[in-house]
Amino acid sequence: MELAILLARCRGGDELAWEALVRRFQARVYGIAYHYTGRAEDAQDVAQEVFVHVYRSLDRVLDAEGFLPWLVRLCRNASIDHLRRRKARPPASDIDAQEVPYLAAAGPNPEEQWLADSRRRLIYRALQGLSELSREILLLREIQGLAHADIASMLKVPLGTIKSRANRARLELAQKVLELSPRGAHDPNPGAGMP
Amino acid sequence: MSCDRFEQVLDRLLAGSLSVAERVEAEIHLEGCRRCRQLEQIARGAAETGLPNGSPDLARSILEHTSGRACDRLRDLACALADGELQDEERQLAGLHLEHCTPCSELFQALVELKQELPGMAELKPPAGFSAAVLQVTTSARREAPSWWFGFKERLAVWTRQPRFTLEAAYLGTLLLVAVLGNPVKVLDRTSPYVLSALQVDVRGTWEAGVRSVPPQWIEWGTGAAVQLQDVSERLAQAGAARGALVIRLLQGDPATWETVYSPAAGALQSSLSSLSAFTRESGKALLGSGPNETAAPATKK
Repeated sequence: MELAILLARCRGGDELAWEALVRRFQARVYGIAYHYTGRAEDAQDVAQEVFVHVYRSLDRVLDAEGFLPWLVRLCRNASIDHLRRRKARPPASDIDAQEVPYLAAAGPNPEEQWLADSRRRLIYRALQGLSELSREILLLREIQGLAHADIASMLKVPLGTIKSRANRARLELAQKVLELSPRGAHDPNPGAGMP
Repeated sequence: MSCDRFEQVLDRLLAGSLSVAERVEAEIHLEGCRRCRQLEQIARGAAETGLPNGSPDLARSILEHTSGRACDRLRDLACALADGELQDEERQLAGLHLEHCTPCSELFQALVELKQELPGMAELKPPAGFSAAVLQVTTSARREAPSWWFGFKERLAVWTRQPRFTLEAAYLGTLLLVAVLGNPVKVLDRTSPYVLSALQVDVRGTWEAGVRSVPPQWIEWGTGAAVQLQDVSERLAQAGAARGALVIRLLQGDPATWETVYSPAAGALQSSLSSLSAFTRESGKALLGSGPNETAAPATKK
């Protein structure tokens, strides 16, 4: 179902439509919250808070095109507020690989799934090695696919700065992935030798 | 072998693919031709001109001694190249560099792979039961406070997130405090006239001459301590007071408990005025009458 139709039904009080909307975006919201908070339980709390906010604000969502940037902005703000309440900072060091919940199988067999997950864990570790602004720009631009203008508005940074920092962050991430990857980008045994 | 012929066979000489006869000819030519000898050394990368040893890539050697390597320029274009946004000419030039530069090629390859992989990390599977929990929470949220209250809370959260909020809140708080409590400097404006009339100005002479005091001068306070200090100075001048410390002492009720509220050396005027205000509020006594007994002050009359 198209998002515009789904949103219209939600505004009309259709509970089935609301459930469909939650299921469609829960992984994205949870992913953003996890990126900022670094903890599964915190991410869950933040994600729930975001959906409650969305539920109460459905009347203000006028078009489907602006829904995703608005949702990402909500999630970001909620994550930052949660961190302030927790009086903690976003994770700057390596995370416990076991704590990262991985997606449903990307490949048909466990080995391919494991490979995909370990690759994602490697990328996640490389992300933690970047500056906070670079990491956030990559999250919003390269991962969540937001436009530069939306990101500039969200972070209150000039548009030109966002563009230049985005390119620099991509190169930094690529360099870090190369450094962390023991023998190339698609090493069949990427866990071996990894610090 | 001529120099032109030598230049033609130089690459094969370096690659070791010359025939025996040609190699001998080339070596004989090198022994007798300084120019070709230098050219051969440059090509090998270990020349008397100072080029680094063992560099088999002539182009790289030349670049290192001219414009420098183009890797920085490639990094400037790498993202645009990965995104397919470069013009034809720049794309060809960047591609040519990547063919001959392993580090840049690896970096570019990683860039291309990340471009494909990062969007796949947009979603993270939440724990089991998450959606059910959200639906339950939102169902109960429907019965809570009206949307206007929720909207206000949202706007308040936005305001408090702004860095200037703290400064502005502190400024408003200060204004409110001054409006309610008034200017603490002007405490004497609201001080009871009874207490003000009890202030005594005691002038002390120099310590060598001993403590000398003049008859207490009762001060009729008007507005503001500054005016009164000036008034005190005039009175002292009229009384022919000698140099010394100017001391204003506050009667706390007991002549023996004179409190020095002002001393030029100490400069504690503001705190002393605050003490005066507090005393006024607390005692509310009428202190009209004559001044304190001269014996209360450790003075020795000459």
